[in-house]
Amino acid sequence: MRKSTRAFGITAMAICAGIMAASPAAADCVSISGTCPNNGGWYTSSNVRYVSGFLNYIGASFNSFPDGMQFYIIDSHGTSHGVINASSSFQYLSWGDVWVGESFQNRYGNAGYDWAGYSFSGQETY
Amino acid sequence: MKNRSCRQAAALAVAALSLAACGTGPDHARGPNQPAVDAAGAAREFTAEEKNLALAPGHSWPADPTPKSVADDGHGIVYQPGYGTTRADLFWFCTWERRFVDPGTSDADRQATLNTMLTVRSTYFYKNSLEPADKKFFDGILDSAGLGDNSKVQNDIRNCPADSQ
Repeated sequence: MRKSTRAFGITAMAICAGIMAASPAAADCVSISGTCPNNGGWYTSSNVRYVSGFLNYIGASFNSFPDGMQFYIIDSHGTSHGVINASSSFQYLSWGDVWVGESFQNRYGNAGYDWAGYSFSGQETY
Repeated sequence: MKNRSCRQAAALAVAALSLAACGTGPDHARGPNQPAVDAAGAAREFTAEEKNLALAPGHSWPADPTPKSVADDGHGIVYQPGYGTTRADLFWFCTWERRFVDPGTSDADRQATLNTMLTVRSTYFYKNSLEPADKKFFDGILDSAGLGDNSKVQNDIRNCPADSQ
């Protein structure tokens, strides 16, 4: 389990590195981490992120991802986009409907599981 | 000696079984909960930040800045401390962005507006809610405005809440 988690992490970092190498000034690939909140609720990050590159998607991959956790983004108007469920591989949060300069924030939680306090880490590309 | 080895083996077996049982949970470290505020707390942050900022003429603060407290799935939503303050800063900034691109704004007013917009760098939002890459992008909006190009400001207004019009 630990071995496969590490492998996912390496894959995620390779995806990030590949995107950055392809166009280092045109896309952001940033580390993300957090801890699931109490009571199966949703936690909204205060960090504001801007789609900066030529990519027409926002995506994320994870080195560690607690079972039952869900991760998605909300745009500046409060609309949610994409959900990643229990996966470490790269997944799209929004595809084709993002624009350069669009701002968004991350939201995540453990969808009703009583596993508050479990943390995640990964990379987000936008 | 043999009995001792047996006891050690039995103890190891019990330990292994215990670990296997724990393995039904997530295979991740458990750390302290992140600090959070509820929707009412985020609204209080917003209202407190209002006192530090003057909106562009003709604009007013939202009557109720409380963000959603319950998601569509019925679960509660909590916010990272600073969320409400950040939303207030962005609301304020949006009003000045709108003034900056308004064709009715005189050149002198536009320069004064730009000077006000640049003070965003002293806000909580700019200092605490932007990752380095995002701060670089946001700086690009300010820099282009300083060069007289309002296209990036115009584009950023797409992120603004409707009630900042």
